[in-house]
Amino acid sequence: MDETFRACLRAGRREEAFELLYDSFRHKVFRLACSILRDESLAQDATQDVFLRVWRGLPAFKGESSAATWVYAITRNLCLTRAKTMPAVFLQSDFPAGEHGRGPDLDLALDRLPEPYRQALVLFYYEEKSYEAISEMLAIPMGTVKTHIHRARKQLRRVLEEEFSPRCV
Amino acid sequence: MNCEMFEDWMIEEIDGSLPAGRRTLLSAHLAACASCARDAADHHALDSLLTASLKPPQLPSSFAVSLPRRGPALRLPVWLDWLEPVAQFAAVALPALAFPRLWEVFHLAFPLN
Repeated sequence: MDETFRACLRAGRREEAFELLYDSFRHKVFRLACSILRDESLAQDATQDVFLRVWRGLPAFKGESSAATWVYAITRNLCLTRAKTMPAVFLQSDFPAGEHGRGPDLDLALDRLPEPYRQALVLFYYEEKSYEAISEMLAIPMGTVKTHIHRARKQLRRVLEEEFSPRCV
Repeated sequence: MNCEMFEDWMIEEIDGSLPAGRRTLLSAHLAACASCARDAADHHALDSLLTASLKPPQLPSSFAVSLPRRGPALRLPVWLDWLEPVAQFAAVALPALAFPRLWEVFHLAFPLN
Protein backbone atom coordinates (compact mmCIF):
# COMPACT_ATOMS: atom_id res chain seq x y z
CA MET A 1 0.00 0.00 0.00
CA ASP A 2 2.78 2.40 1.02
CA GLU A 3 4.49 2.20 -2.38
CA THR A 4 1.27 2.82 -4.33
CA PHE A 5 0.43 5.68 -1.96
CA ARG A 6 3.83 7.31 -2.50
CA ALA A 7 3.57 6.82 -6.27
CA CYS A 8 0.18 8.56 -6.27
CA LEU A 9 1.58 11.48 -4.28
CA ARG A 10 4.61 11.81 -6.56
CA ALA A 11 2.32 11.87 -9.56
CA GLY A 12 0.14 14.54 -7.94
CA ARG A 13 -2.87 12.23 -7.67
CA ARG A 14 -3.95 13.53 -4.28
CA GLU A 15 -7.50 12.15 -4.33
CA GLU A 16 -6.24 8.66 -5.14
CA ALA A 17 -3.59 8.84 -2.42
CA PHE A 18 -6.25 9.95 0.05
CA GLU A 19 -8.61 7.14 -0.91
CA LEU A 20 -5.86 4.59 -0.36
CA LEU A 21 -5.27 5.89 3.16
CA TYR A 22 -8.98 6.15 3.89
CA ASP A 23 -9.71 2.60 2.75
CA SER A 24 -6.71 1.17 4.60
CA PHE A 25 -6.97 3.03 7.89
CA ARG A 26 -10.45 4.34 8.64
CA HIS A 27 -11.45 1.39 10.83
CA LYS A 28 -8.15 1.32 12.68
CA VAL A 29 -8.24 5.09 13.21
CA PHE A 30 -11.76 4.74 14.61
CA ARG A 31 -10.73 1.95 16.99
CA LEU A 32 -7.66 3.89 18.13
CA ALA A 33 -9.89 6.92 18.73
CA CYS A 34 -12.37 4.73 20.67
CA SER A 35 -9.56 3.44 22.86
CA ILE A 36 -8.51 6.99 23.77
CA LEU A 37 -11.86 8.79 23.92
CA ARG A 38 -13.93 5.81 25.21
CA ASP A 39 -16.98 6.96 23.32
CA GLU A 40 -18.01 5.82 19.85
CA SER A 41 -19.78 9.03 18.87
CA LEU A 42 -16.79 11.19 19.89
CA ALA A 43 -14.52 8.70 18.11
CA GLN A 44 -16.56 9.06 14.92
CA ASP A 45 -16.18 12.85 15.02
CA ALA A 46 -12.47 12.40 15.67
CA THR A 47 -12.13 9.99 12.72
CA GLN A 48 -13.83 12.55 10.49
CA ASP A 49 -11.41 15.26 11.62
CA VAL A 50 -8.36 12.99 11.37
CA PHE A 51 -9.08 12.39 7.70
CA LEU A 52 -9.66 16.09 7.09
CA ARG A 53 -6.22 16.73 8.55
CA VAL A 54 -4.80 13.91 6.44
CA TRP A 55 -6.34 15.51 3.34
CA ARG A 56 -4.94 18.94 4.19
CA GLY A 57 -1.56 17.49 5.15
CA LEU A 58 -1.06 15.36 2.03
CA PRO A 59 0.73 18.04 -0.04
CA ALA A 60 3.26 18.50 2.76
CA PHE A 61 3.77 14.77 3.46
CA LYS A 62 7.47 14.15 2.83
CA GLY A 63 7.41 10.40 3.24
CA GLU A 64 10.00 10.36 6.04
CA SER A 65 7.78 7.93 7.96
CA SER A 66 5.33 5.33 6.72
CA ALA A 67 1.81 6.43 5.89
CA ALA A 68 0.52 4.37 8.84
CA THR A 69 2.88 6.08 11.30
CA TRP A 70 1.77 9.48 10.01
CA VAL A 71 -1.97 8.73 10.16
CA TYR A 72 -1.75 7.20 13.65
CA ALA A 73 0.30 10.16 14.91
CA ILE A 74 -2.41 12.56 13.68
CA THR A 75 -5.05 10.38 15.39
CA ARG A 76 -3.21 10.22 18.71
CA ASN A 77 -2.49 13.96 18.78
CA LEU A 78 -6.05 14.91 17.91
CA CYS A 79 -7.66 12.48 20.37
CA LEU A 80 -5.30 13.29 23.23
CA THR A 81 -5.94 17.00 22.75
CA ARG A 82 -9.70 16.36 22.81
CA ALA A 83 -9.43 14.05 25.81
CA LYS A 84 -7.64 16.82 27.74
CA THR A 85 -10.46 19.27 27.11
CA MET A 86 -13.19 16.81 28.06
CA PRO A 87 -14.68 16.86 31.54
CA ALA A 88 -13.21 14.04 33.65
CA VAL A 89 -16.59 12.32 33.82
CA PHE A 90 -16.31 11.41 30.14
CA LEU A 91 -12.99 9.74 30.70
CA GLN A 92 -14.27 7.45 33.41
CA SER A 93 -16.63 4.67 32.66
CA ASP A 94 -18.81 5.14 35.70
CA PHE A 95 -21.93 5.03 33.56
CA PRO A 96 -24.91 2.86 34.42
CA ALA A 97 -24.54 -0.85 33.73
CA GLY A 98 -24.72 -1.75 30.07
CA GLU A 99 -23.85 1.74 28.81
CA HIS A 100 -20.86 0.36 26.91
CA GLY A 101 -22.27 -3.08 26.34
CA ARG A 102 -20.28 -4.57 29.21
CA GLY A 103 -20.72 -4.89 32.94
CA PRO A 104 -20.00 -1.90 35.17
CA ASP A 105 -17.45 -3.90 37.18
CA LEU A 106 -15.19 -4.44 34.21
CA ASP A 107 -15.46 -0.79 33.15
CA LEU A 108 -14.59 0.38 36.64
CA ALA A 109 -11.78 -2.13 36.93
CA LEU A 110 -10.35 -1.03 33.56
CA ASP A 111 -10.46 2.57 34.79
CA ARG A 112 -8.27 1.63 37.74
CA LEU A 113 -5.44 0.67 35.40
CA PRO A 114 -2.76 3.19 34.50
CA GLU A 115 -3.78 4.75 31.16
CA PRO A 116 -1.00 3.18 29.02
CA TYR A 117 -1.87 -0.30 30.36
CA ARG A 118 -5.62 0.20 29.85
CA GLN A 119 -5.16 1.48 26.33
CA ALA A 120 -2.79 -1.33 25.30
CA LEU A 121 -5.12 -3.97 26.74
CA VAL A 122 -8.26 -2.55 25.14
CA LEU A 123 -6.54 -2.24 21.75
CA PHE A 124 -5.16 -5.76 22.13
CA TYR A 125 -8.70 -7.10 22.06
CA TYR A 126 -9.89 -4.62 19.41
CA GLU A 127 -6.99 -5.63 17.13
CA GLU A 128 -7.37 -9.40 17.44
CA LYS A 129 -4.45 -9.82 19.83
CA SER A 130 -1.76 -8.38 17.58
CA TYR A 131 1.21 -6.88 19.43
CA GLU A 132 2.51 -5.55 16.13
CA ALA A 133 -0.65 -3.59 15.30
CA ILE A 134 -0.69 -1.97 18.74
CA SER A 135 3.00 -1.14 18.57
CA GLU A 136 2.37 0.71 15.30
CA MET A 137 -0.80 2.43 16.51
CA LEU A 138 0.67 3.65 19.79
CA ALA A 139 4.20 4.21 18.46
CA ILE A 140 5.82 2.16 21.23
CA PRO A 141 8.17 -0.84 20.90
CA MET A 142 6.59 -4.31 20.80
CA GLY A 143 8.37 -5.29 24.02
CA THR A 144 6.72 -2.37 25.79
CA VAL A 145 3.31 -3.35 24.40
CA LYS A 146 3.81 -6.86 25.75
CA THR A 147 4.89 -5.56 29.16
CA HIS A 148 1.90 -3.19 29.35
CA ILE A 149 -0.53 -5.98 28.50
CA HIS A 150 1.02 -8.39 31.01
CA ARG A 151 0.89 -5.81 33.78
CA ALA A 152 -2.64 -4.81 32.80
CA ARG A 153 -3.83 -8.43 33.05
CA LYS A 154 -2.20 -8.95 36.45
CA GLN A 155 -3.55 -5.68 37.86
CA LEU A 156 -6.99 -6.21 36.39
CA ARG A 157 -7.24 -9.66 37.87
CA ARG A 158 -6.22 -8.29 41.28
CA VAL A 159 -8.68 -5.38 41.08
CA LEU A 160 -11.58 -7.63 40.05
CA GLU A 161 -10.77 -10.11 42.79
CA GLU A 162 -10.25 -7.59 45.57
CA GLU A 163 -12.83 -4.94 44.79
CA PHE A 164 -15.61 -6.44 42.73
CA SER A 165 -16.55 -9.75 44.32
CA PRO A 166 -15.79 -13.08 42.66
CA ARG A 167 -18.38 -12.37 39.94
CA CYS A 168 -15.95 -11.84 37.06
CA VAL A 169 -12.89 -13.91 37.93
CA MET B 1 11.73 -21.89 38.64
CA ASN B 2 9.24 -19.94 40.74
CA CYS B 3 5.48 -19.56 40.49
CA GLU B 4 5.72 -15.85 39.59
CA MET B 5 7.59 -16.72 36.42
CA PHE B 6 4.92 -19.25 35.54
CA GLU B 7 2.28 -16.53 35.80
CA ASP B 8 4.11 -14.65 33.01
CA TRP B 9 4.13 -17.84 30.97
CA MET B 10 0.38 -18.32 31.54
CA ILE B 11 -0.24 -14.83 30.18
CA GLU B 12 2.07 -15.47 27.21
CA GLU B 13 0.17 -18.67 26.51
CA ILE B 14 -3.13 -16.78 26.50
CA ASP B 15 -1.64 -14.08 24.24
CA GLY B 16 -0.36 -16.80 21.91
CA SER B 17 3.31 -15.88 22.29
CA LEU B 18 4.60 -18.69 24.54
CA PRO B 19 7.21 -20.84 22.73
CA ALA B 20 6.28 -24.51 22.36
CA GLY B 21 9.15 -25.70 24.58
CA ARG B 22 7.88 -23.62 27.50
CA ARG B 23 4.31 -24.79 27.00
CA THR B 24 5.33 -28.31 28.02
CA LEU B 25 7.10 -27.03 31.14
CA LEU B 26 4.09 -24.88 32.02
CA SER B 27 1.67 -27.80 31.67
CA ALA B 28 3.88 -29.94 33.90
CA HIS B 29 4.03 -27.18 36.53
CA LEU B 30 0.26 -26.60 36.46
CA ALA B 31 -0.31 -30.30 36.96
CA ALA B 32 1.85 -30.21 40.08
CA CYS B 33 0.96 -26.80 41.61
CA ALA B 34 -2.67 -26.28 42.67
CA SER B 35 -2.17 -22.57 43.35
CA CYS B 36 -0.79 -21.90 39.86
CA ALA B 37 -3.52 -24.05 38.31
CA ARG B 38 -6.08 -21.76 40.01
CA ASP B 39 -4.23 -18.68 38.74
CA ALA B 40 -4.24 -20.12 35.22
CA ALA B 41 -7.97 -20.76 35.42
CA ASP B 42 -8.48 -17.15 36.61
CA HIS B 43 -6.41 -15.76 33.72
CA HIS B 44 -8.36 -17.85 31.21
CA ALA B 45 -11.65 -16.65 32.75
CA LEU B 46 -10.44 -13.04 32.55
CA ASP B 47 -9.42 -13.55 28.92
CA SER B 48 -12.88 -14.91 28.09
CA LEU B 49 -14.51 -11.96 29.86
CA LEU B 50 -12.34 -9.46 27.97
CA THR B 51 -12.89 -11.21 24.64
CA ALA B 52 -16.65 -11.09 25.17
CA SER B 53 -16.67 -7.51 26.47
CA LEU B 54 -14.09 -5.72 24.33
CA LYS B 55 -15.52 -6.37 20.89
CA PRO B 56 -13.98 -4.13 18.23
CA PRO B 57 -16.23 -1.11 17.72
CA GLN B 58 -17.45 -0.73 14.12
CA LEU B 59 -17.77 2.42 12.08
CA PRO B 60 -21.34 2.66 10.77
CA SER B 61 -21.61 1.85 7.05
CA SER B 62 -23.05 5.34 6.51
CA PHE B 63 -19.82 6.93 7.76
CA ALA B 64 -18.15 9.16 5.18
CA VAL B 65 -15.67 12.01 5.28
CA SER B 66 -16.80 15.16 3.51
CA LEU B 67 -13.77 16.86 2.05
CA PRO B 68 -13.70 20.60 1.37
CA ARG B 69 -14.33 21.52 -2.27
CA ARG B 70 -11.27 22.76 -4.08
CA GLY B 71 -10.15 23.94 -7.46
CA PRO B 72 -7.81 22.04 -9.76
CA ALA B 73 -4.44 21.30 -8.16
CA LEU B 74 -1.59 23.59 -9.15
CA ARG B 75 1.49 21.48 -9.58
CA LEU B 76 4.86 22.52 -10.91
CA PRO B 77 6.67 20.20 -13.30
CA VAL B 78 9.32 17.97 -11.67
CA TRP B 79 12.20 19.85 -13.34
CA LEU B 80 11.16 22.96 -11.36
CA ASP B 81 11.50 21.16 -7.98
CA TRP B 82 14.58 23.28 -7.21
CA LEU B 83 12.26 26.32 -6.90
CA GLU B 84 10.86 25.14 -3.56
CA PRO B 85 14.12 25.34 -1.51
CA VAL B 86 15.06 28.60 -3.27
CA ALA B 87 11.68 30.10 -2.34
CA GLN B 88 12.07 28.92 1.26
CA PHE B 89 15.54 30.48 1.47
CA ALA B 90 14.29 33.73 -0.06
CA ALA B 91 11.41 33.88 2.42
CA VAL B 92 13.94 33.99 5.27
CA ALA B 93 16.83 35.84 3.66
CA LEU B 94 14.98 38.76 2.04
CA PRO B 95 13.31 40.07 5.22
CA ALA B 96 16.64 39.67 7.06
CA LEU B 97 18.46 41.71 4.40
CA ALA B 98 15.72 44.31 4.19
CA PHE B 99 15.37 44.85 7.95
CA PRO B 100 18.47 47.13 8.51
CA ARG B 101 17.42 49.31 5.58
CA LEU B 102 13.84 49.59 6.89
CA TRP B 103 15.21 50.41 10.35
CA GLU B 104 17.28 53.24 8.82
CA VAL B 105 14.26 54.64 6.97
CA PHE B 106 12.20 54.43 10.17
CA HIS B 107 14.84 56.44 12.09
CA LEU B 108 15.02 59.04 9.34
CA ALA B 109 11.26 59.47 9.48
CA PHE B 110 11.05 59.42 13.31
CA PRO B 111 14.36 60.62 14.76
CA LEU B 112 14.81 59.68 18.41
CA ASN B 113 16.37 63.01 19.41
